[in-house]
Amino acid sequence: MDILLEIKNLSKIYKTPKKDIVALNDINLQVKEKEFVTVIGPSGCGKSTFLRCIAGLEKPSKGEIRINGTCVKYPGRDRMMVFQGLDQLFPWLTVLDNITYPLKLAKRGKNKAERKEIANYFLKLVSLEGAGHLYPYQLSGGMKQRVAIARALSVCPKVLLMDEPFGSLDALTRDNLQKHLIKIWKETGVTIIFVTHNIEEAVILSTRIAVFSTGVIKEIIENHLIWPRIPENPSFVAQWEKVYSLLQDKIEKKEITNPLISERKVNLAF
Amino acid sequence: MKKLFRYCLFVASLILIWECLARSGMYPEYLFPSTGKIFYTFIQDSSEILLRARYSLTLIFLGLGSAVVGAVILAGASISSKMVSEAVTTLMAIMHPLPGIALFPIALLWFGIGNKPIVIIIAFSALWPLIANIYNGLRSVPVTQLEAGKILGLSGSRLIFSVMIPAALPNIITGLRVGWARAWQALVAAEMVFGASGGEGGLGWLLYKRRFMMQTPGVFAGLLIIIIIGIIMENAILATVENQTIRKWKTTID
Repeated sequence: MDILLEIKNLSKIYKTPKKDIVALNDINLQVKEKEFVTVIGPSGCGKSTFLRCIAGLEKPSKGEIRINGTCVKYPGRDRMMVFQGLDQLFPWLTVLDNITYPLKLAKRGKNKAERKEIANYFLKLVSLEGAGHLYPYQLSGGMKQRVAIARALSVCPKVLLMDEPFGSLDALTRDNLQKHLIKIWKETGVTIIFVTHNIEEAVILSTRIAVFSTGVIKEIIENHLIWPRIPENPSFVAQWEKVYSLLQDKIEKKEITNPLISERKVNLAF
Repeated sequence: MKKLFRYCLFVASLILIWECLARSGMYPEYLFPSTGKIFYTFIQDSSEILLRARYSLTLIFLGLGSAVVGAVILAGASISSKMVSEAVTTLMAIMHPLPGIALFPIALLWFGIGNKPIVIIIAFSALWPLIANIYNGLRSVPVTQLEAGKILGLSGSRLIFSVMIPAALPNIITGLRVGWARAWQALVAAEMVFGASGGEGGLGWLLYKRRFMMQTPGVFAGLLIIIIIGIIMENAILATVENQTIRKWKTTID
Protein backbone atom coordinates (compact mmCIF):
# COMPACT_ATOMS: atom_id res chain seq x y z
CA MET A 1 0.00 0.00 0.00
CA ASP A 2 1.05 3.57 -0.63
CA ILE A 3 2.58 5.79 1.96
CA LEU A 4 0.03 8.41 2.95
CA LEU A 5 1.68 10.31 5.73
CA GLU A 6 5.35 10.97 6.05
CA ILE A 7 6.94 12.64 9.05
CA LYS A 8 10.55 13.63 8.56
CA ASN A 9 12.95 14.85 11.26
CA LEU A 10 10.12 16.44 13.19
CA SER A 11 11.23 18.46 16.21
CA LYS A 12 9.27 20.74 18.47
CA ILE A 13 11.01 22.95 20.98
CA TYR A 14 9.14 25.22 23.36
CA LYS A 15 11.23 28.25 24.21
CA THR A 16 10.80 29.45 27.78
CA PRO A 17 12.84 32.19 29.47
CA LYS A 18 14.66 29.69 31.67
CA LYS A 19 15.43 26.92 29.24
CA ASP A 20 14.20 25.32 26.06
CA ILE A 21 11.90 22.35 26.46
CA VAL A 22 12.29 19.71 23.79
CA ALA A 23 8.87 18.14 23.28
CA LEU A 24 9.74 16.26 20.10
CA ASN A 25 13.23 15.36 19.04
CA ASP A 26 13.83 14.31 15.45
CA ILE A 27 10.80 12.07 14.91
CA ASN A 28 10.52 10.00 11.76
CA LEU A 29 7.44 7.99 10.90
CA GLN A 30 5.74 6.73 7.79
CA VAL A 31 2.11 5.78 7.81
CA LYS A 32 0.57 3.76 5.01
CA GLU A 33 -2.98 4.08 3.79
CA LYS A 34 -5.59 2.28 5.89
CA GLU A 35 -3.18 1.79 8.73
CA PHE A 36 -4.22 2.16 12.35
CA VAL A 37 -1.29 3.49 14.35
CA THR A 38 -1.44 4.05 18.08
CA VAL A 39 1.01 6.37 19.77
CA ILE A 40 1.62 5.38 23.37
CA GLY A 41 3.70 6.86 26.15
CA PRO A 42 3.53 8.38 29.61
CA SER A 43 2.18 11.88 30.23
CA GLY A 44 4.47 14.59 28.94
CA CYS A 45 6.30 12.37 26.46
CA GLY A 46 5.23 14.54 23.54
CA LYS A 47 2.64 12.23 22.03
CA SER A 48 -0.10 14.86 22.03
CA THR A 49 2.28 17.47 20.65
CA PHE A 50 3.14 15.02 17.88
CA LEU A 51 -0.52 14.66 16.94
CA ARG A 52 -1.14 18.39 17.17
CA CYS A 53 1.77 19.02 14.82
CA ILE A 54 0.21 16.69 12.25
CA ALA A 55 -3.14 18.44 12.74
CA GLY A 56 -1.49 21.80 12.10
CA LEU A 57 -2.42 23.15 15.51
CA GLU A 58 1.27 23.40 16.46
CA LYS A 59 4.06 24.58 14.19
CA PRO A 60 7.02 22.21 14.04
CA SER A 61 10.35 23.77 15.02
CA LYS A 62 12.16 21.56 12.54
CA GLY A 63 11.28 18.93 10.00
CA GLU A 64 8.24 18.41 7.85
CA ILE A 65 4.98 16.56 7.57
CA ARG A 66 3.84 15.36 4.18
CA ILE A 67 0.50 13.98 3.10
CA ASN A 68 0.60 12.32 -0.30
CA GLY A 69 3.83 14.21 -0.84
CA THR A 70 2.49 17.69 -0.06
CA CYS A 71 3.87 19.51 2.92
CA VAL A 72 1.25 20.57 5.48
CA LYS A 73 1.56 23.61 7.69
CA TYR A 74 -1.96 24.58 8.68
CA PRO A 75 -5.07 22.75 9.86
CA GLY A 76 -7.05 21.25 7.03
CA ARG A 77 -9.99 19.00 6.45
CA ASP A 78 -7.73 16.24 5.14
CA ARG A 79 -6.65 15.71 8.75
CA MET A 80 -9.59 15.68 11.12
CA MET A 81 -9.03 15.49 14.84
CA VAL A 82 -11.10 14.04 17.66
CA PHE A 83 -10.17 15.52 21.04
CA GLN A 84 -10.27 14.09 24.51
CA GLY A 85 -12.53 16.83 25.89
CA LEU A 86 -16.26 16.22 26.00
CA ASP A 87 -16.87 19.84 24.97
CA GLN A 88 -15.63 19.61 21.39
CA LEU A 89 -19.09 19.64 19.81
CA PHE A 90 -20.65 23.04 19.25
CA PRO A 91 -23.32 23.33 21.96
CA TRP A 92 -25.38 25.78 19.89
CA LEU A 93 -25.93 23.27 17.10
CA THR A 94 -27.98 20.09 17.18
CA VAL A 95 -26.17 16.78 16.67
CA LEU A 96 -27.23 16.80 13.02
CA ASP A 97 -26.13 20.39 12.46
CA ASN A 98 -22.81 19.65 14.14
CA ILE A 99 -22.23 17.35 11.17
CA THR A 100 -23.96 19.25 8.38
CA TYR A 101 -22.04 22.42 9.23
CA PRO A 102 -18.60 20.93 8.45
CA LEU A 103 -20.14 19.35 5.34
CA LYS A 104 -21.20 22.80 4.21
CA LEU A 105 -17.69 24.11 4.86
CA ALA A 106 -16.24 21.20 2.92
CA LYS A 107 -18.74 21.83 0.10
CA ARG A 108 -19.98 18.26 0.31
CA GLY A 109 -23.54 17.68 -0.73
CA LYS A 110 -25.36 19.89 -3.23
CA ASN A 111 -28.04 21.18 -0.87
CA LYS A 112 -29.35 21.02 2.67
CA ALA A 113 -31.31 17.83 2.09
CA GLU A 114 -28.32 16.05 0.63
CA ARG A 115 -26.08 17.15 3.49
CA LYS A 116 -28.69 15.94 5.94
CA GLU A 117 -28.63 12.59 4.20
CA ILE A 118 -24.84 12.35 4.45
CA ALA A 119 -24.95 13.38 8.11
CA ASN A 120 -27.54 10.73 8.85
CA TYR A 121 -25.38 8.10 7.16
CA PHE A 122 -22.48 8.94 9.47
CA LEU A 123 -24.73 9.07 12.52
CA LYS A 124 -25.85 5.57 11.62
CA LEU A 125 -22.22 4.53 11.29
CA VAL A 126 -21.69 5.43 14.95
CA SER A 127 -25.07 3.90 15.90
CA LEU A 128 -26.67 7.21 16.75
CA GLU A 129 -29.44 7.26 14.17
CA GLY A 130 -32.40 9.17 15.57
CA ALA A 131 -30.28 11.35 17.85
CA GLY A 132 -29.87 14.09 15.26
CA HIS A 133 -32.38 16.48 16.81
CA LEU A 134 -30.71 16.46 20.23
CA TYR A 135 -28.43 19.17 21.53
CA PRO A 136 -24.97 18.16 22.83
CA TYR A 137 -25.95 18.75 26.48
CA GLN A 138 -28.54 15.99 26.13
CA LEU A 139 -25.90 13.40 25.22
CA SER A 140 -23.81 11.18 27.45
CA GLY A 141 -20.03 11.37 27.28
CA GLY A 142 -19.78 8.31 25.04
CA MET A 143 -22.45 9.63 22.69
CA LYS A 144 -20.65 12.97 22.44
CA GLN A 145 -17.43 11.25 21.42
CA ARG A 146 -19.29 9.16 18.85
CA VAL A 147 -20.82 12.32 17.33
CA ALA A 148 -17.33 13.84 17.27
CA ILE A 149 -16.09 10.78 15.37
CA ALA A 150 -19.02 11.02 12.96
CA ARG A 151 -18.35 14.72 12.43
CA ALA A 152 -14.68 14.06 11.74
CA LEU A 153 -15.38 11.23 9.30
CA SER A 154 -18.18 13.04 7.47
CA VAL A 155 -15.81 15.32 5.57
CA CYS A 156 -13.84 12.27 4.37
CA PRO A 157 -10.43 13.08 5.81
CA LYS A 158 -7.33 11.26 4.66
CA VAL A 159 -6.21 10.80 8.25
CA LEU A 160 -8.23 10.66 11.41
CA LEU A 161 -6.25 11.97 14.37
CA MET A 162 -7.50 10.92 17.77
CA ASP A 163 -6.07 12.44 20.94
CA GLU A 164 -7.08 10.14 23.80
CA PRO A 165 -10.70 10.36 22.67
CA PHE A 166 -11.88 7.79 25.20
CA GLY A 167 -9.74 9.12 28.05
CA SER A 168 -12.63 10.83 29.82
CA LEU A 169 -14.98 7.85 29.63
CA ASP A 170 -15.75 5.04 32.05
CA ALA A 171 -14.31 1.58 31.38
CA LEU A 172 -17.53 0.05 30.00
CA THR A 173 -18.24 2.89 27.58
CA ARG A 174 -14.61 2.86 26.58
CA ASP A 175 -14.78 -0.84 25.77
CA ASN A 176 -17.89 -0.29 23.72
CA LEU A 177 -16.41 2.61 21.80
CA GLN A 178 -13.23 0.69 21.03
CA LYS A 179 -15.32 -2.01 19.36
CA HIS A 180 -17.20 0.68 17.51
CA LEU A 181 -14.03 2.31 16.30
CA ILE A 182 -12.64 -0.96 14.95
CA LYS A 183 -15.87 -1.52 13.07
CA ILE A 184 -15.81 2.01 11.65
CA TRP A 185 -12.16 1.68 10.67
CA LYS A 186 -12.83 -1.58 8.85
CA GLU A 187 -15.91 -0.19 7.14
CA THR A 188 -14.49 3.14 6.00
CA GLY A 189 -10.84 2.17 5.60
CA VAL A 190 -9.75 5.51 7.00
CA THR A 191 -6.17 5.89 8.23
CA ILE A 192 -6.08 6.48 11.96
CA ILE A 193 -3.44 7.82 14.31
CA PHE A 194 -4.58 7.31 17.86
CA VAL A 195 -2.86 8.69 20.95
CA THR A 196 -3.37 6.84 24.21
CA HIS A 197 -1.62 5.96 27.45
CA ASN A 198 -3.55 2.75 27.85
CA ILE A 199 -1.57 -0.30 26.70
CA GLU A 200 -4.63 -2.53 26.38
CA GLU A 201 -6.33 0.06 24.20
CA ALA A 202 -3.29 0.26 21.94
CA VAL A 203 -3.06 -3.52 21.54
CA ILE A 204 -6.80 -3.91 20.95
CA LEU A 205 -7.05 -1.20 18.31
CA SER A 206 -4.02 -0.77 16.17
CA THR A 207 -1.91 -2.43 13.53
CA ARG A 208 1.21 -0.64 14.73
CA ILE A 209 2.18 0.77 18.10
CA ALA A 210 4.67 3.63 18.32
CA VAL A 211 6.12 3.73 21.82
CA PHE A 212 7.10 7.28 22.76
CA SER A 213 9.66 8.25 25.32
CA THR A 214 10.39 11.91 26.13
CA GLY A 215 10.20 13.24 22.63
CA VAL A 216 11.48 10.29 20.62
CA ILE A 217 9.94 7.14 19.21
CA LYS A 218 11.58 4.40 21.20
CA GLU A 219 10.27 1.55 19.17
CA ILE A 220 7.56 0.75 16.67
CA ILE A 221 5.85 -2.58 17.30
CA GLU A 222 3.94 -4.35 14.56
CA ASN A 223 0.64 -5.55 15.95
CA HIS A 224 -1.05 -8.12 13.76
CA LEU A 225 -3.10 -10.08 16.27
CA ILE A 226 -6.17 -11.64 14.77
CA TRP A 227 -9.58 -10.04 15.29
CA PRO A 228 -11.46 -10.02 17.58
CA ARG A 229 -8.67 -9.31 20.01
CA ILE A 230 -9.38 -10.73 23.41
CA PRO A 231 -7.20 -9.51 26.30
CA GLU A 232 -7.12 -13.03 27.84
CA ASN A 233 -5.41 -14.57 24.79
CA PRO A 234 -1.76 -15.53 25.36
CA SER A 235 -0.69 -13.70 22.19
CA PHE A 236 -2.48 -10.57 23.40
CA VAL A 237 -0.80 -10.84 26.79
CA ALA A 238 2.59 -11.28 25.14
CA GLN A 239 2.04 -8.17 23.03
CA TRP A 240 0.84 -6.25 26.07
CA GLU A 241 3.93 -7.23 28.03
CA LYS A 242 6.17 -6.20 25.19
CA VAL A 243 4.75 -2.68 25.21
CA TYR A 244 4.68 -2.64 29.00
CA SER A 245 8.33 -3.56 29.34
CA LEU A 246 9.30 -0.82 26.88
CA LEU A 247 7.37 1.76 28.88
CA GLN A 248 8.51 0.35 32.23
CA ASP A 249 12.13 0.46 31.22
CA LYS A 250 11.73 4.15 30.61
CA ILE A 251 10.06 4.85 33.93
CA GLU A 252 12.77 3.05 35.90
CA LYS A 253 15.48 5.03 34.23
CA LYS A 254 13.63 8.23 35.02
CA GLU A 255 13.47 7.29 38.67
CA ILE A 256 17.20 6.96 38.91
CA THR A 257 17.88 10.27 37.25
CA ASN A 258 15.05 12.20 38.83
CA PRO A 259 16.71 14.56 41.34
CA LEU A 260 13.50 15.05 43.28
CA ILE A 261 13.19 11.39 44.05
CA SER A 262 16.82 10.89 45.02
CA GLU A 263 16.47 13.89 47.31
CA ARG A 264 13.47 12.33 48.97
CA LYS A 265 15.44 9.17 49.54
CA VAL A 266 18.14 11.14 51.30
CA ASN A 267 15.53 12.76 53.49
CA LEU A 268 14.07 9.43 54.44
CA ALA A 269 17.49 8.08 55.37
CA PHE A 270 18.04 11.06 57.57
CA MET B 1 -47.57 30.61 35.12
CA LYS B 2 -46.68 30.27 38.80
CA LYS B 3 -43.67 32.48 38.15
CA LEU B 4 -45.84 35.13 36.53
CA PHE B 5 -48.22 35.00 39.48
CA ARG B 6 -45.39 35.52 41.95
CA TYR B 7 -44.09 38.37 39.82
CA CYS B 8 -47.47 40.11 39.80
CA LEU B 9 -47.88 39.52 43.53
CA PHE B 10 -44.54 41.15 44.21
CA VAL B 11 -45.31 44.19 42.05
CA ALA B 12 -48.77 44.49 43.63
CA SER B 13 -47.29 44.49 47.12
CA LEU B 14 -44.81 47.20 46.12
CA ILE B 15 -47.72 49.32 44.86
CA LEU B 16 -49.59 48.60 48.08
CA ILE B 17 -46.67 49.78 50.22
CA TRP B 18 -46.46 52.93 48.14
CA GLU B 19 -50.17 53.56 48.51
CA CYS B 20 -50.02 53.06 52.29
CA LEU B 21 -47.17 55.53 52.59
CA ALA B 22 -48.96 58.07 50.40
CA ARG B 23 -52.16 57.82 52.44
CA SER B 24 -50.46 57.82 55.83
CA GLY B 25 -50.13 61.58 55.65
CA MET B 26 -46.47 61.43 56.61
CA TYR B 27 -45.48 63.26 53.45
CA PRO B 28 -47.20 66.13 51.68
CA GLU B 29 -49.22 65.03 48.70
CA TYR B 30 -47.40 67.26 46.24
CA LEU B 31 -44.18 65.37 47.00
CA PHE B 32 -45.57 61.87 47.42
CA PRO B 33 -48.63 61.45 45.21
CA SER B 34 -50.91 58.43 45.55
CA THR B 35 -50.69 55.62 43.01
CA GLY B 36 -54.13 56.51 41.72
CA LYS B 37 -52.99 60.01 40.87
CA ILE B 38 -49.85 58.72 39.16
CA PHE B 39 -51.84 56.27 37.01
CA TYR B 40 -54.42 58.95 36.25
CA THR B 41 -51.69 61.35 35.10
CA PHE B 42 -50.08 58.54 33.16
CA ILE B 43 -53.28 57.87 31.23
CA GLN B 44 -54.10 61.51 30.74
CA ASP B 45 -50.57 62.37 29.70
CA SER B 46 -50.13 59.18 27.69
CA SER B 47 -50.00 60.77 24.25
CA GLU B 48 -47.11 63.02 25.24
CA ILE B 49 -45.41 60.31 27.31
CA LEU B 50 -45.52 57.86 24.40
CA LEU B 51 -44.25 60.48 22.00
CA ARG B 52 -41.33 61.26 24.32
CA ALA B 53 -40.70 57.57 24.86
CA ARG B 54 -40.56 56.95 21.12
CA TYR B 55 -38.20 59.85 20.72
CA SER B 56 -35.91 58.53 23.47
CA LEU B 57 -36.01 54.97 22.16
CA THR B 58 -34.94 56.14 18.72
CA LEU B 59 -31.90 57.83 20.24
CA ILE B 60 -31.18 54.76 22.40
CA PHE B 61 -31.28 52.36 19.46
CA LEU B 62 -29.11 54.62 17.33
CA GLY B 63 -26.55 54.98 20.12
CA LEU B 64 -26.68 51.42 21.40
CA GLY B 65 -26.72 50.00 17.87
CA SER B 66 -23.54 51.82 16.87
CA ALA B 67 -21.97 50.87 20.21
CA VAL B 68 -22.70 47.17 19.56
CA VAL B 69 -21.21 47.33 16.06
CA GLY B 70 -18.16 49.17 17.37
CA ALA B 71 -17.75 46.79 20.30
CA VAL B 72 -17.93 43.66 18.11
CA ILE B 73 -15.32 45.11 15.74
CA LEU B 74 -12.98 46.23 18.54
CA ALA B 75 -13.38 43.04 20.58
CA GLY B 76 -12.89 40.95 17.44
CA ALA B 77 -9.76 42.88 16.53
CA SER B 78 -8.48 42.56 20.10
CA ILE B 79 -8.84 38.80 20.07
CA SER B 80 -7.02 38.57 16.72
CA SER B 81 -4.11 40.87 17.44
CA LYS B 82 -2.11 41.34 20.60
CA MET B 83 -1.22 44.89 19.68
CA VAL B 84 -4.86 45.92 19.21
CA SER B 85 -5.74 44.12 22.42
CA GLU B 86 -3.18 46.13 24.37
CA ALA B 87 -4.37 49.39 22.81
CA VAL B 88 -8.03 48.63 23.50
CA THR B 89 -7.31 47.53 27.08
CA THR B 90 -5.43 50.76 27.76
CA LEU B 91 -8.15 52.81 26.12
CA MET B 92 -10.73 51.01 28.22
CA ALA B 93 -8.81 51.76 31.41
CA ILE B 94 -8.87 55.45 30.49
CA MET B 95 -12.41 55.71 29.15
CA HIS B 96 -14.47 53.24 31.15
CA PRO B 97 -14.43 55.18 34.44
CA LEU B 98 -15.46 58.40 32.66
CA PRO B 99 -19.21 59.01 33.02
CA GLY B 100 -20.61 59.70 29.58
CA ILE B 101 -22.41 62.76 30.87
CA ALA B 102 -19.08 64.31 31.90
CA LEU B 103 -18.15 64.41 28.23
CA PHE B 104 -21.44 65.94 27.17
CA PRO B 105 -20.22 69.57 27.26
CA ILE B 106 -17.39 68.61 24.91
CA ALA B 107 -19.79 66.68 22.69
CA LEU B 108 -22.00 69.76 22.50
CA LEU B 109 -19.04 71.89 21.47
CA TRP B 110 -17.82 69.40 18.91
CA PHE B 111 -21.07 68.20 17.40
CA GLY B 112 -23.39 71.13 18.03
CA ILE B 113 -26.84 71.27 19.56
CA GLY B 114 -29.33 68.59 18.63
CA ASN B 115 -29.53 64.85 18.83
CA LYS B 116 -26.05 64.12 17.56
CA PRO B 117 -24.20 64.77 20.84
CA ILE B 118 -26.81 62.76 22.78
CA VAL B 119 -26.49 59.76 20.47
CA ILE B 120 -22.71 59.99 20.68
CA ILE B 121 -22.76 60.12 24.47
CA ILE B 122 -25.13 57.13 24.56
CA ALA B 123 -22.81 55.19 22.26
CA PHE B 124 -19.79 56.18 24.34
CA SER B 125 -21.44 55.14 27.61
CA ALA B 126 -22.53 51.74 26.28
CA LEU B 127 -19.39 50.99 24.27
CA TRP B 128 -16.97 50.22 27.11
CA PRO B 129 -19.06 47.76 29.12
CA LEU B 130 -19.97 46.10 25.81
CA ILE B 131 -16.33 45.72 24.75
CA ALA B 132 -15.31 44.49 28.20
CA ASN B 133 -17.98 41.79 28.21
CA ILE B 134 -17.67 40.72 24.58
CA TYR B 135 -13.89 40.54 24.75
CA ASN B 136 -14.06 38.60 27.99
CA GLY B 137 -16.56 36.22 26.37
CA LEU B 138 -14.40 35.70 23.28
CA ARG B 139 -11.41 34.95 25.48
CA SER B 140 -13.22 32.35 27.54
CA VAL B 141 -14.30 30.16 24.61
CA PRO B 142 -13.40 26.53 25.43
CA VAL B 143 -10.06 25.77 23.77
CA THR B 144 -11.34 22.46 22.40
CA GLN B 145 -14.21 24.18 20.58
CA LEU B 146 -11.85 26.76 19.19
CA GLU B 147 -9.47 24.07 17.94
CA ALA B 148 -12.36 22.02 16.59
CA GLY B 149 -13.28 25.09 14.56
CA LYS B 150 -9.71 25.42 13.28
CA ILE B 151 -9.60 21.75 12.38
CA LEU B 152 -12.80 22.22 10.36
CA GLY B 153 -10.93 24.83 8.34
CA LEU B 154 -12.17 28.03 9.96
CA SER B 155 -9.89 30.97 10.58
CA GLY B 156 -9.96 34.73 11.03
CA SER B 157 -13.35 36.41 11.03
CA ARG B 158 -15.15 33.19 10.10
CA LEU B 159 -13.80 31.55 13.24
CA ILE B 160 -14.89 34.57 15.28
CA PHE B 161 -18.43 34.68 13.88
CA SER B 162 -19.07 30.94 13.58
CA VAL B 163 -17.48 29.68 16.78
CA MET B 164 -16.34 32.39 19.15
CA ILE B 165 -19.41 34.63 19.12
CA PRO B 166 -21.96 31.82 19.66
CA ALA B 167 -19.76 30.45 22.42
CA ALA B 168 -19.42 33.89 23.98
CA LEU B 169 -23.14 34.61 23.87
CA PRO B 170 -23.71 34.44 27.66
CA ASN B 171 -21.17 37.24 28.11
CA ILE B 172 -22.46 39.15 25.10
CA ILE B 173 -25.98 39.16 26.54
CA THR B 174 -24.62 40.40 29.87
CA GLY B 175 -22.83 43.14 27.94
CA LEU B 176 -26.07 44.11 26.21
CA ARG B 177 -27.83 44.31 29.57
CA VAL B 178 -25.18 46.60 31.03
CA GLY B 179 -24.93 48.60 27.81
CA TRP B 180 -28.70 49.10 27.72
CA ALA B 181 -28.73 50.38 31.29
CA ARG B 182 -25.79 52.70 30.63
CA ALA B 183 -27.45 54.01 27.49
CA TRP B 184 -30.59 54.97 29.41
CA GLN B 185 -28.61 56.59 32.17
CA ALA B 186 -26.69 58.65 29.64
CA LEU B 187 -29.81 59.62 27.70
CA VAL B 188 -31.89 60.74 30.66
CA ALA B 189 -28.98 62.57 32.24
CA ALA B 190 -28.10 64.37 29.03
CA GLU B 191 -31.69 65.46 28.40
CA MET B 192 -32.19 66.54 31.97
CA VAL B 193 -29.04 68.57 32.28
CA PHE B 194 -28.97 70.12 28.87
CA GLY B 195 -32.62 70.13 27.95
CA ALA B 196 -33.92 69.51 24.50
CA SER B 197 -33.49 71.24 21.25
CA GLY B 198 -36.31 73.11 19.55
CA GLY B 199 -39.17 71.84 21.70
CA GLU B 200 -38.40 68.25 20.82
CA GLY B 201 -37.08 66.00 23.51
CA GLY B 202 -37.29 62.63 25.15
CA LEU B 203 -38.21 61.29 28.53
CA GLY B 204 -35.41 63.06 30.36
CA TRP B 205 -36.75 66.34 29.06
CA LEU B 206 -40.26 65.34 30.12
CA LEU B 207 -39.10 64.59 33.68
CA TYR B 208 -37.28 67.87 33.80
CA LYS B 209 -40.29 69.85 32.56
CA ARG B 210 -42.69 68.18 34.99
CA ARG B 211 -40.40 68.82 37.94
CA PHE B 212 -39.97 72.41 36.87
CA MET B 213 -43.76 72.86 36.89
CA MET B 214 -44.00 71.04 40.25
CA GLN B 215 -46.16 68.33 38.63
CA THR B 216 -44.89 65.49 40.81
CA PRO B 217 -47.39 62.89 39.49
CA GLY B 218 -46.14 63.73 36.01
CA VAL B 219 -42.54 63.06 37.11
CA PHE B 220 -43.58 59.66 38.44
CA ALA B 221 -45.59 58.95 35.31
CA GLY B 222 -42.39 59.59 33.34
CA LEU B 223 -40.45 57.25 35.62
CA LEU B 224 -43.19 54.66 35.20
CA ILE B 225 -42.77 54.53 31.44
CA ILE B 226 -38.98 54.13 31.84
CA ILE B 227 -39.65 51.21 34.20
CA ILE B 228 -42.17 49.69 31.78
CA ILE B 229 -39.75 49.95 28.86
CA GLY B 230 -37.06 48.34 31.04
CA ILE B 231 -39.39 45.48 31.97
CA ILE B 232 -40.36 44.91 28.33
CA MET B 233 -36.71 44.89 27.30
CA GLU B 234 -35.74 42.46 30.05
CA ASN B 235 -38.71 40.10 30.04
CA ALA B 236 -39.83 40.19 26.46
CA ILE B 237 -36.72 40.79 24.40
CA LEU B 238 -33.65 39.67 26.38
CA ALA B 239 -35.48 36.75 28.00
CA THR B 240 -36.67 35.56 24.58
CA VAL B 241 -33.18 35.83 23.18
CA GLU B 242 -31.88 33.83 26.14
CA ASN B 243 -34.59 31.19 25.86
CA GLN B 244 -33.87 30.75 22.17
CA THR B 245 -30.12 30.55 22.65
CA ILE B 246 -28.08 29.96 25.78
CA ARG B 247 -30.91 28.42 27.81
CA LYS B 248 -31.85 26.15 24.93
CA TRP B 249 -28.24 25.02 24.54
CA LYS B 250 -27.69 24.89 28.30
CA THR B 251 -24.45 26.83 27.95
CA THR B 252 -25.50 28.77 31.03
CA ILE B 253 -26.90 27.75 34.40
CA ASP B 254 -30.58 28.59 34.86
